[in-house]
Amino acid sequence: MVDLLKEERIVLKKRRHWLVIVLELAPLVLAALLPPLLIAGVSSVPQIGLAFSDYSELAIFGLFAWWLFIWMIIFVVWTNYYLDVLVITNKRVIDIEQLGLFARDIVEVRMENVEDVKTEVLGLIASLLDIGNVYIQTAAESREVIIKNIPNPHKLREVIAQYRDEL
Amino acid sequence: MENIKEFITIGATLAFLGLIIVFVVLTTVLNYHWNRYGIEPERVKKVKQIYFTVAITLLILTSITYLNILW
Repeated sequence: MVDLLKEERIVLKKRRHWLVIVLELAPLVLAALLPPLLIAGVSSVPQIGLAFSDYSELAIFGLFAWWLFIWMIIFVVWTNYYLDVLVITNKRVIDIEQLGLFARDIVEVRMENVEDVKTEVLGLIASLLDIGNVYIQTAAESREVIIKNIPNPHKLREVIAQYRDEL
Repeated sequence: MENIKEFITIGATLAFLGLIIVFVVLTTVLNYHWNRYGIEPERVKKVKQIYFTVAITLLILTSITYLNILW
């Protein structure tokens, strides 16, 4: 996936913090839980439940179809998260971002072009879980590379600075 | 009553066909991405196992309930 240069080795691989994927998947899980609760609720009302029993097969069909659909969407969301990777090598910083299923953005910055690295941790939850953004100022065509919602951003800054200074 | 049953059958058939098409397309696309861009082969293998096990189970259950509606 990443073609390494001569004498290049991968130092660090990072993905966005797990909280990001949890927050993205939470509405889908709720959407999966809602229909059975609705069916149970409707069935428990005597008059409605009696009429509903004529269409119970349809309801169960709809439920399984809905769950299958949600299952697929969960994996689309997960794949989008999983394929966003930040790769730090001893020579480059490579930010791979999957934008939906049909778009992919790869930004590659050579260590000698890294001018400045800034980290930002904002908010209570971010501070407690050590989630932040990393801003890499470069001398390259892409002036600034922004990596969002990364765990241990300060450590990442130190690693980039270390390998930039070694060059 | 017969009209409602017919309507339900047609609706369920369209929904089932639509679901199959979406399933085939999305699964193909996801599989392509996992094979092409996945950087941890062991994890990708595990993810595929989980995805296909649950998806195929749900597909079978959906098919069975769909056939129940028809009959």
